[in-house]
Formats: sequence, structure tokens, C-alpha cells
Amino acid sequence: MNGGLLLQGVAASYGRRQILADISCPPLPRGEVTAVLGPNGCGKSTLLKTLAGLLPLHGSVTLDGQALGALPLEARARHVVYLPQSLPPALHLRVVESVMVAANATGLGLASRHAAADIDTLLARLGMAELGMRYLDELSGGQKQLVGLAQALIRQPDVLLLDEPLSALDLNHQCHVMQLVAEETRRRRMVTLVVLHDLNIALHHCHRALLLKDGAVLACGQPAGVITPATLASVYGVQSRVEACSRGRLNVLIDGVIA
Amino acid sequence: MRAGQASLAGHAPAYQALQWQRLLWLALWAGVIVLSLLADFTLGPAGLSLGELWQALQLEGDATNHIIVWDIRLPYALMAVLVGMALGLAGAETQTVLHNPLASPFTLGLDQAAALGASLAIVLQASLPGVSGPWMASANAFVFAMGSALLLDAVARRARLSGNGVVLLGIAMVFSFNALVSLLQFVASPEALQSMVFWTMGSLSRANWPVLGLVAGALLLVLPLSLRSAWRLTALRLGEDRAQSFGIDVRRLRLASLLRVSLLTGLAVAFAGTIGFIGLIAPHIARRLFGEDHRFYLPASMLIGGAVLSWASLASKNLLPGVIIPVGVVTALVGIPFFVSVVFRHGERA
Repeated sequence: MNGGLLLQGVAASYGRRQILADISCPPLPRGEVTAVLGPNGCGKSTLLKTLAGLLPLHGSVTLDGQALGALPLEARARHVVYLPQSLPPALHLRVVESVMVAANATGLGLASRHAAADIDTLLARLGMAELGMRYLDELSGGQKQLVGLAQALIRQPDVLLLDEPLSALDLNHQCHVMQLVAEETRRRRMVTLVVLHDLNIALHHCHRALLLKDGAVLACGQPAGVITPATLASVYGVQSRVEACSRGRLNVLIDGVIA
Repeated sequence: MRAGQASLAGHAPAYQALQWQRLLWLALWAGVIVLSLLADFTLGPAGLSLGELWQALQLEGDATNHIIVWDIRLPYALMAVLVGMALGLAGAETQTVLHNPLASPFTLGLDQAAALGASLAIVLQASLPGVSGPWMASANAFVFAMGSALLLDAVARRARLSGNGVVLLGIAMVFSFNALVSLLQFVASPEALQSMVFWTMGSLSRANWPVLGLVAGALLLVLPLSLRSAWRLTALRLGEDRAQSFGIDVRRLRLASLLRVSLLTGLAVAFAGTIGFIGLIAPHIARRLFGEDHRFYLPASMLIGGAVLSWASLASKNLLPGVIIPVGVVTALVGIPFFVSVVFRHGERA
């Protein structure tokens, strides 16, 4: 058995306003990337925050059979890392330090000399080896987003939750980051959930897709089975086609909005 | 920058060098404090030569000099350093936990709460059971500063206020406490009114060895606790969501920090009155020189706070011959332009 992340009857609310209701899906295996899709306000970020322990969890979430909901925040953070949608703020803090903070904030115990070396390797993999000694307040939005990703990866989680990690990146970096996320997910045998708006990136780079509508699961499974004209019409209200290009890769083509 | 094309830069040695450079800067600021202390002894009408100072410190030479050094000038000068250190460290933690560069114990109303507590003791003789005499005002000042911090935290939690919301609430508390202090001034006797001036202007003249021991003890207690939280506090600067996702209990961290801040501020104000702007200035200088790695930023804010108040104290004694200007007046005169410059700098970014 491969293990993985199992969500059963997950619900979440802000005060009295229920955002997620009865989110269940087949186990999300280790080593695979799942795209979390859906329109604005459907509960994608809420789902990630709930899994990370930032919001109270109702229902059951298990990783390889271990209940994550029973773990206190600090213990859960050793298994689960959440990268928020917001960019790291413009602080007068070196990039190397901002990544080191992620490793040391709750005592993962990387000694500073080793941490700096590990961070060097990680920054190089992210294509930002030259930026290690720069201050965060000197970086562009895209560079800060990459720093955020480095902060998440340095914690070596079992479950990696990325909330729109591509929103500030150019095309080159979007492809590069998704390849890297898939590679790291496979190499470290993580379960990765990534909130995306670009359906083609989900089709090309993710192993699975979880499509939400109004706080509930509309479809879950292989991206090609989830991203269909019918589901896109239901969730986004658009007319679309999903067609293979000359290289055989599926692409979503939007024809217009359903009146 | 293009993805995947960069080679490994090898930041580890550069980072180690940076650490050493920062330690050197910390040592330099400690040196600035020592210089200020030396200047404090040697300047002014009763200034001693370095030789006389050395002799007096060893209880040799002129007996009058022993008294001048050990009973008057040394406690006064050390009080400036210790109170400045306490306010610098308190200011740094406040700005971090409230995510606001304009936050400090002074702008949150902790100083004014302490002044209100002291005024109640001076005017109405109201104090804690078992406390009497000259300690009443100090004990009240401490309790009010601590109570004010706890109240601020409780209201902020209940109303789920952001960092900026807490600062606005703090400003409301500043005005409330100031109004109550004014009311007490209105009904105070002329003698009590004179004593109250001490709290509102800030003065180091109450310095003595037991008080120095208390403030130094508080610093020795708080600094290790602050440094123990250094990584968490740095993570908090990256944003609450991010800090929580690293497993940090942000509410607990914030409450512990506010308690440390109120202990330092309460003691500082209890014995030196309202000395504004040190808690604002010192963290800003530290941030520019040391960055926001709190392992360095916190001790740097502390040392810079000590150095700034020490030099302000020196200025307060030497600007007008024969007159000691209340040190709170000097820090306000220097601090207000600084405060305005911070507002403008952050306005530009927005």
C-alpha cells in the first residue's frame, strides 16, 4: 500500500458561515501532485488552511493512517506545510535568512552552517542562487514567490500545500516551478496539493485534480477526467473544448461564457 | 534571472562573514555606550579627569570624588543606559508583534498608563496593599503598564484586531490615560502637581543602586526569553499565516511578547517617568544596520536604545550650563522629527 492523504467529510467555516461541507475524495498518494481547482470563493484556500491546521477541522484527515487533526499545531507543521497566497512581505531580511527562519521557527533543528548550505542547494534548484544574500525588500513579486516556495520546501514536509504559487510568476518560471514541484514531490514522496487557476497547467503538470464548487467536491480524479467541457460549464459557466494538440497533450480552449 | 540557469553561488561563507560583521557591530554599539559613560563623567562643571575617575572607581584618592562617582553620577549614567536598553528592546518586540513600524510602548499607551498609575499614588495616595512610601508611585506605574498591555491584548483578541487595529486602539488609550492624568493634575495640590511633572517629563534623577538592580534584573530575565523566541519573532514578520504554517502559536507568542514588553516598560517608566521615542528610534536604526533577523535585531535594538538614551542624558546635562533638562524632553525633541520621517518613508511605499 502506497499510503497517502485521505480526506473524509472535511468541513470548515468562518464563524457561522460554512465554507466547506463534506469534502471527501479517494486517497491522494505520496509522490503525486493534485491540482485544487474551482472558481473564486469556492473554498480552495479554506481547504488548504484547514488541512494545515490554521482553521478548525471537522471531519477526518489522515496521512498514512495517522489522524492529522489530532496533532497539535507544532507537531502537525512538521508533517504539513502551507504556503499562503500572499507574498512574503518586503522585509529587510536576507533571502537566505528568510528561508532559514522557515527551518528553525519551530525547531526543525538545522544548524545554521548546514542550513545555509542546504538553502544554497535549494535556491539553485529554484533558479535563484544569485539572490541568497539579497534583502527581501529588493526582490520582485515573482522572486518573493520563489522565496516562499523555498521556505515551504526547506521544511521537508510530508504534505505540501501551495496556494496559488504561480500568481506572480512569468511563463518560464511557472513551467519551471511546476516541474520542480512535481520533481520534489516524487523525490521526497510528498503529497502535494496546489491551488491553480490555469487549467492547462493542471492538465500538464498534475497527476490528479480536485474540482470544488460552492464548498463541495464536484469531481476528483485524473485531470483529464475532471477537466471536461461539462464540469467547466457547471463550475465556471463557460463553453469550452478540451483537445489534444499536435504533440498529443490536452489543452483547454475557452469559446465563451454561457449566457 | 532565468530559471534553471544559475549556478550554485555558495552563500554559506558569505553568510558566516555577515554574522561576524554583525557581532562586530554589536560590539561597536557597546563601545558607543562605554564612550558615552566616559563622556558623562568627564564633561560638565564637576567633570573628572580619566585618572580621577579611575581612582574614584577603585575608592582611592579624593573621598568627595567617591561620593560623586558612586552615589550620584554612576547610578544616573547607568540608569540612562539600562532604561534605554529596556525601552529599545521593548520597542523592537512591540513593532514585531504588531507588524507596525510606528508601534512602541509609548504609542500604545503603556507609558501613559504607568504615568496614570503613578499619578493616582501621588495625588490620591491610592496604591497596592502592602506598598507604601516612595515605592507607591513606582509600584502603581508598573501595575498599570502591565494591566494596560493585558487589556490591549484581551480587547485585540476579542475583537480580532489586526496589528494596525491594535495601534489605533493604543492611540485611543494614550488619549484616555492622558485625559485622566490631566484630571488628576486639575485636582492635585501644588506639591503633588510638582511630583507629577516628574512622570510626564521623564527624569533619571531617581536612580539608585536598588533601582538599577531591579531594571538590570528585568533585562537579564527578559533578554534570554526574547532571544529564545528570536526565530519565531522573525517568522512572525513574514506574516501571521506563514508563521502559523511553520507551527507557531501566534497568539501565545504575541501574549508572551507583550508581557515582556510591559515588564520592561513598566519598570522603566516606574523609575524614570515617561521617556518617549527611544522604543521607536532604536528598533529603526537596528533594522537598517542589522536587518530583521531577530537574533541580532533584538540585542541591537537594546544596545542602540541604551546608547541613544545615554547620549540624550549627556545632552540634557550639558546643553544649558547649570541646568538639567528633563531627559524626556530631549528624547522628544530628537524623536518627533524621526517619527515624522518614518511616517513619510512608509507613506512613500504605500
